[in-house]
Amino acid sequence: MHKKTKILLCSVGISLMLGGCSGMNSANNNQESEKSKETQAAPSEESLISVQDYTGEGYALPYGKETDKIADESLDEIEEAAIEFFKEKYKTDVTVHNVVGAKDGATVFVESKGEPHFYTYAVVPIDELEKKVMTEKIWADQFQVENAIKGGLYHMIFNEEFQQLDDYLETIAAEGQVTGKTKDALQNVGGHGYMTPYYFIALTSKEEAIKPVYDLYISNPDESTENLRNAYEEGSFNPENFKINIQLFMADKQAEPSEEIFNQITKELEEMDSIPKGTYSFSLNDNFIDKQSSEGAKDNSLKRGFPDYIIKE
Amino acid sequence: MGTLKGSPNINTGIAANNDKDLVELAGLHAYTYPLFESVLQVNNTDYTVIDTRYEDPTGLDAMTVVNMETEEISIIYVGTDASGKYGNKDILTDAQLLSDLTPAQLAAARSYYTEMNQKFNQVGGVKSIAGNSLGGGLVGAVAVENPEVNAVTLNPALLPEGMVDPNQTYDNITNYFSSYDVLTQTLIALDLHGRIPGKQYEIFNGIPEFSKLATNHTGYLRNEDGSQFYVIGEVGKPGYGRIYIDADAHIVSSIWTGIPLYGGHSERIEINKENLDILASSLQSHVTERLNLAHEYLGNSVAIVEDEGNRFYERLNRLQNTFEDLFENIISEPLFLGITAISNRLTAEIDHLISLLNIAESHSKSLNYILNSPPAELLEHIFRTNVSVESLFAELRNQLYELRSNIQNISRGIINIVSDKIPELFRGGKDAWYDAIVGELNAHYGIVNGNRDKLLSHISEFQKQVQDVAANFQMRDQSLGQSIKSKSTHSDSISVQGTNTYKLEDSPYMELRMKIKEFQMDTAYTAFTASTQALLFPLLEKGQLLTFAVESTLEILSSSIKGAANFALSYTIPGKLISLFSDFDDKIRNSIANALEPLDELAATIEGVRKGLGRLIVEYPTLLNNFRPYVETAIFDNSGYFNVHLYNLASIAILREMEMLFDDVVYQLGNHKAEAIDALCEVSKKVKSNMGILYEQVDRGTIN
Repeated sequence: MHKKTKILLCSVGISLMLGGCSGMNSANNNQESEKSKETQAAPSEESLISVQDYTGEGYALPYGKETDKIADESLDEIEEAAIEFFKEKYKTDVTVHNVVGAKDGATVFVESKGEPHFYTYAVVPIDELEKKVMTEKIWADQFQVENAIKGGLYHMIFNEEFQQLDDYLETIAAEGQVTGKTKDALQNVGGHGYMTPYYFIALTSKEEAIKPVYDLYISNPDESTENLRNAYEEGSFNPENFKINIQLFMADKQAEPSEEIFNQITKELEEMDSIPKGTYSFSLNDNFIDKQSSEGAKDNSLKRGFPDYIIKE
Repeated sequence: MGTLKGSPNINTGIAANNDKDLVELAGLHAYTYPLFESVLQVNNTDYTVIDTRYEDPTGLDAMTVVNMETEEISIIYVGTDASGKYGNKDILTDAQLLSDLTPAQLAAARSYYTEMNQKFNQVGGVKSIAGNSLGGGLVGAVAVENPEVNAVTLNPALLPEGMVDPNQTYDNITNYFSSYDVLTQTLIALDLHGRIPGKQYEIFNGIPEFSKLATNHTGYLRNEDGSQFYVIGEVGKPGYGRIYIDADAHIVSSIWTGIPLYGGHSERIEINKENLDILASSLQSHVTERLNLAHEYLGNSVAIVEDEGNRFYERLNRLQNTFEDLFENIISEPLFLGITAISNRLTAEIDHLISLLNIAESHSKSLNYILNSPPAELLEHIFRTNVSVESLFAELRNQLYELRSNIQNISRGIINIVSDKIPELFRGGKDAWYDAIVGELNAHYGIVNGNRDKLLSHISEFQKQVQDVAANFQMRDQSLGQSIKSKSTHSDSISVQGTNTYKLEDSPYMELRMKIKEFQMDTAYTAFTASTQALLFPLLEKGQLLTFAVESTLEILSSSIKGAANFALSYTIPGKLISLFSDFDDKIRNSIANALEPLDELAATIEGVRKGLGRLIVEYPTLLNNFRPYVETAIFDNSGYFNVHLYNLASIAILREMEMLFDDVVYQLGNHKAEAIDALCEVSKKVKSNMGILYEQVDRGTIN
């Protein structure tokens, strides 16, 4: 795994020095100071790491060890190819944050510049035997990229509603008991469309309301937000096809997911009516995240999801 | 082929319709770690990830997904090597270990199933589980204990010994094996696939290229969206193309029910207008689409053969130049440079030797002159000596002339090999073509292409008939049957496409299959070896003898000349004559030296020639050995030949699938009381048998 941005890497050991590794995210700073214990409980598995410390370091895709090394040799070329690919195919300027070896290729994590804001990824095929990176054959899962852009567009044109949701989640995090993924983690290994530290947006292929907005954006990436908003087909909206997946972590390394907090947030989500319409899932995890997959949902997580979503009509 | 909801007599609850999606989820999406609650699209169906288990300490990776169309829940298992979770394990290690499914991982997989089944019990529980490779092994382990779950695997790993009960059939498990998957092929070879529970079907995706091992193993090469393929050949060259390998596109399922057609027919359906329409539209779309792909593959094979044919002279010239180079390089003797041309350095060198001989001769003449005219004072003291070497010089000159013509003969022999014998390497085959392999393949493809076109027309005619019958289904069945059989297109205002005979032509070619090249190589090369050796060796050996003769004549000549210095003196030479004598003696010695000098050079050169010829005799078999691979590539470019095989393989895979599909069509149309359907059934049988004929012909173009 390679960092495009130089990050001060802190070693995450069994015991963390007090005030040692502070998160990159300012939202985490207040809980850092609340730590009073000299020794922290060790994660059960070395593949787990505290969410505040997770920057994407350790993310690894199956069968990607060799391709990772090969990709390492051609980072500049891959970066260039990815930027060109998104510009060409999706009319969008992106920043390349990270390249990770995968099966038969390397996954290139990118972030769009400006609005619509989203994270996604492309794949550069790699011939492992020839040790060849085939940048000319770069591709992306069309469904994933389109949904990333559509999610970003949603966030753009429903700015006020999303502001409500974002404010609410930031307020909760500011109370210090729960937190979200770091910005670095999103940039380096996010790739799931519109993402914030606390949630990401997912659309199904049946989501039609945003389609004309997407078409307009692709035909003219500089279109004003107002015009994009006007292209939106309110009538075709069905909350089932628009998902907002909220995922929070306990801020304290030793805390199990708190039923109390979980129930409180669930209740508040159910009651709020100024937040965006759609299908909400919510999971509250302990403090740890799986390095390799960047997944925080685990066995002990408290989850509100399929088949019992929170639906905002 | 989509599933057909709501068609009659179909149990829509059959999860088997999902096999394709599940195989793709396991072979492709599972490797990208979709996050909890993210949405994936597989074959135009949305799936939501409703649970993840990526952090399991045993190395188990699994996710639970829900099909948003059917609301059915499936678990996708990804088996990884717990000891080095991302160790990018070599597939061969996989095969060697056969199964490194640790008991802990198996137990984790089972408890994950139980957990999910309970968790989602309100919404029907877990309907299916799927995985490939090690994940497939995990699926097997879960499914043997849970007969109610539908399990699908692609190239699964073995289960630990004793887990599979040989007396049970495990009908809930379907294993798909890609042909050429190393792991499963190894298992089969070791007769261990008894440790893979359930039904086992082969799907014909993947191509047997060692470098594609890993890809064959999962069945997918992540390439461009939704279509996975290997690239064959080089950009811009004939035969450059793609072989599509989506494992799920190769799962053959019934036209009507979407149920995989392995190990038997689909359930009997009712033949009514609706089902005939389904058949007609499937023939028009899916079947034609697949056959067109097979057509495209064959087209690429043909393009490679034609290109090879067009480059015949290029291939021939390259081979000729190679032979000349090899020939000159085996004798590391500069003298032999250019030996493959008639006027070469060596003959020029022999001319030079003859001129040296002339110099030596004139020196020996002057030596004689000196010997014959000693100072008068010395006359009485010296016996007349004379060096009589004219005959020796003449002999030597003749020998050199002979050697020169021998060298020229050798050159002619080589030229003859290059211009006549090398082209013979290409000749042969059934019709004694000048370019045997290309000729045979071309002739064969001429027939195959004609047959392919016939088959396509046959199918489209059948499709029209099905359509017509469906359209007229309400009409009197009997007259329909009549009009199909009587090839007439009129009968009581019912018009049905008549039946024409499509007889495929037999091909007398390619009876040796792709071994023709090997065969050509062996026979042509044996002939080449024998004839070139017969041509060259006598000349080379004669050359050697000649050089020996030259060398021995030279010996005699040199010693005769040297002998001139040993003239006998009478008792004693009076003191006053000593200096005079010394002068004379010096003169003689100088003259001898002058005569010997060119002869020494001559001797050295001849030795070089002799050694060179000797080396040619000894090294020629080695040359032939080194030459062989060049011949092999020239006869038909190796990679091009292999690509022909690959394309043929890809197209027979499709023909095989289509044959299976038609087998089901015949079965479904058979045994109906309706005469029209009987008539259709007859036609479908013929189509199927034609497919079989074409299949066999294309199959001849593959390497077994």
